[in-house]
Amino acid sequence: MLTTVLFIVLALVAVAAGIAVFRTDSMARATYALAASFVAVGAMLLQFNLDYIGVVTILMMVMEMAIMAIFMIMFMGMNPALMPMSMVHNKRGSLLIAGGVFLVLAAGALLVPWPARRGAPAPDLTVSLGEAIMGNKMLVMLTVSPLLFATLVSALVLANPRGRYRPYPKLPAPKQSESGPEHHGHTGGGH
Amino acid sequence: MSAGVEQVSPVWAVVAAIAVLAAAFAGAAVDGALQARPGARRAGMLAPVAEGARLLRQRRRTLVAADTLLWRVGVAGLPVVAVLMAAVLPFGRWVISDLPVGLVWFNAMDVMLWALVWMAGWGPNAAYPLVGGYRFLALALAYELPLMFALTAPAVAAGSLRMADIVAGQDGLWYVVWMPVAFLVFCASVLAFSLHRPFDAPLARDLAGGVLAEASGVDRLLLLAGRHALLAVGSGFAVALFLGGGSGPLLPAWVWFLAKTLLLQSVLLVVRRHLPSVRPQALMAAAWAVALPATLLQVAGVAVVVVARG
Amino acid sequence: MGLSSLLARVATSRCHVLLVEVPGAASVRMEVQRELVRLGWVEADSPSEADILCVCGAPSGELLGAVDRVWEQLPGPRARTTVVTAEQVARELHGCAERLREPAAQTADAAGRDQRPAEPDDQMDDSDDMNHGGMDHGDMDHGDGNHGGMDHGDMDHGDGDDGMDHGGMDMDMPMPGGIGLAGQEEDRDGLDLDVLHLPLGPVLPSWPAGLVLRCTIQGDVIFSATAELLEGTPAPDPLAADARAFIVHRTDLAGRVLRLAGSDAAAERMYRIRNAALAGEPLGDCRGPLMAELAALKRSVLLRRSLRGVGTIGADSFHAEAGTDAWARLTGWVEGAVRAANGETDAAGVPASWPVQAALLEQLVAGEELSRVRLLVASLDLAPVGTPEVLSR
Repeated sequence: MLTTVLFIVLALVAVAAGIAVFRTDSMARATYALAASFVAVGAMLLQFNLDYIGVVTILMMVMEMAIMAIFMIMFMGMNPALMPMSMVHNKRGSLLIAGGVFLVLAAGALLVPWPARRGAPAPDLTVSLGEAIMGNKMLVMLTVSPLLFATLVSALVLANPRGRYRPYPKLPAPKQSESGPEHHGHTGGGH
Repeated sequence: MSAGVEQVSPVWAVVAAIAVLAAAFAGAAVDGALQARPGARRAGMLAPVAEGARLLRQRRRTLVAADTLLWRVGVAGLPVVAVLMAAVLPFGRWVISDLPVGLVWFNAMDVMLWALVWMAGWGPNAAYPLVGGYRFLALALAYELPLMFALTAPAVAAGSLRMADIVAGQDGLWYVVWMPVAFLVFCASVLAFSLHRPFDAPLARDLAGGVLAEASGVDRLLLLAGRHALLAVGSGFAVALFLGGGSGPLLPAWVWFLAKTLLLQSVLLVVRRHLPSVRPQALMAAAWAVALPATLLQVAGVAVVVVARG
Repeated sequence: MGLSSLLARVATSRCHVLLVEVPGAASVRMEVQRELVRLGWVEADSPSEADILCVCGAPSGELLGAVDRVWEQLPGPRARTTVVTAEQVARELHGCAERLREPAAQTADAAGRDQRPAEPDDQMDDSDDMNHGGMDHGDMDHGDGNHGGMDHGDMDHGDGDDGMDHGGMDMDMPMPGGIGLAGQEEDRDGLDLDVLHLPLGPVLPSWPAGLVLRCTIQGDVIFSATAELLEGTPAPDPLAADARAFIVHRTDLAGRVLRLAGSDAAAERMYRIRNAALAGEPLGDCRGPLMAELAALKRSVLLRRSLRGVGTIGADSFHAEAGTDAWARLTGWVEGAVRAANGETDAAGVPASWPVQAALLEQLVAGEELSRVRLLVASLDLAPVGTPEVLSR
């Protein structure tokens, strides 16, 4: 009973937060409304005892949204980011697509003859999930992922070798101070 | 499955929340004593009482075009995240939720801080808090990967992501003994995600308090309390992951756990007091070029030991 | 009533005080800081943190206006005082705490306040809040305060050649709070970035008295800046500076840099030495602690890493401190103080004139990140060595 109530509440939160993404007029709020929606979905997955997937959904989505907010605001410039603006583009088209996808999915959920469960879930779902995803490809993944990562980092380094904060050659030629050297004092000591 | 640790009724969550706040208060008291001038240490212990009273009396500020919703969520989120972390932390022999992936839960909660601190900086619509919020994300990018790999080491050794199994896996030999690098990186990360020095650039004085710069009254109280609560809970996790949890002779497990946690918390507070701030851009190289390979080697070493033991 | 007055008593046992130093009133400020340590009170970093606004010296003109705006940002309960001589300090601070405790006075103060939301960032804003400088929004009108009817439909941010066109978005809402929007300009990487105009000072923690640095920033990197000293320069009086004044001045500067770098424990020890010198203790007694501090400084790897290369003055500069960075200046100050405590008299040099200092400052901060700018400003000795009133207490 309590779990059902909780499930319904989480489902409503997920949908409401999803709607809020498009109803709000600020980029920051839209981003974090999306994050809230995903967190609710992650919590629902936890209810299914899919612990690892649920928690990782929360982890990845919050992290992703935190980074996405930066990029979104950076690329849009401060002006539209701070200014209230509509989060909807191409209203008619997206409405049609969204409605169509919803109908297909809902029809699938209702019409497909779902099979009854055979067998019991594994004692440790996280382990069986890892086996299912990785299996004997673990060594390949272990080799590929550092390579991919190193490629990303080196691409960034090549693109911007100095980084943002490395001392730059000063930009506008420093304007020569008008007062001559007669003003300089002698040492105040210690040098 | 998990020897020695039992899950208690969810009603105890209230007690756990109070315990987290009490530990945060203890940390603030120790901090006050450390900050007090010599000869006034006793008065320093009471600093959090005076500070709490002061902030309860102080009014909140309202600012032009502030994003009040996000601001409040960010401010109130810090203590909430600390309590949510504590939900999977074995307190001696008891745990509120014996989640099979407790360690990942802890990690997910600490990632929540990315969003919350940024929101607390974004909300006031003022330059200093905004810069502070962004600084935290820069810091987080530096510390998060070493932290994740430091968390991996005890999990690999215990062969489980369940906190209770990790505590049980240290029967006889604490993980800190053979994973010192992971322990040090984890402690540094605790200081970082709880916004303490040397990783306090988001709240630094050069930004007139950064994320704190526009917060007053209850908002400020929640931010400061959340900071200390995070440090306390982080110390608790360090104890559970590396210092054997509640294991110890004679005394009951919860006494040992509490004593170790408070001791580690105090040590971190002393360390933080004697270190200068580190700028995020200066931390990046150290974190990715030194800490990350070091923790990776640590995990590799642990994996080899685990395989060799069979 | 009993409970709320108890709360008030506890709350005012550890007041947070925001200090504003008027140029030339350094000795009053130091005395206030000394009193704060004695009372166990705290120096506030921002107006929103503070209960008490303590103005050291009598401000006038632009600085007075800035102080008034800062006063408006104290959330309340609040108290304000102006201290011009060191003798007043204890009494004035005590009086402020009294006023903070009085419910009637605070209610009246709150009732008299403007209930509209405060402008953010005023503490660093010295004049027109709405002026974000180099903005060019064509026909947009920020003057009338009513943006409801404005049409943002055809606004074009940037210069249009970057393919970013916001024309299609529905920006049919009023702008937030009537705040002007930022303009865009190419940054040094050739990206189109927002340009904001952010004045630093005159009220900032660990910031030279009366200094305003009007910065043009992109992100947290300062593009260019102009420096101004409110209240003019106090007349330098190098002849009056004796060894004690020298030690006080140098330890004060060193403490400021250390606090800003986040080295609180070291800064407190440095201030303790300063306060001892200020209290008229024999200078020989300062020598030991100063030597210990110098040794501790040189051991601190993190501090050296964070100060090395900050604000390096070119070796070819004719400035007195040519070839030094913040780290060299910090250690130089402490070394100079040690020598003074030894009885070796350094010539208390004539400080460079303000235009020279301002030009140097503007040149140094260009292209630097905000936290480095703060450190480099703190590491420059802009005020002449004054004659501290040596207090016997």
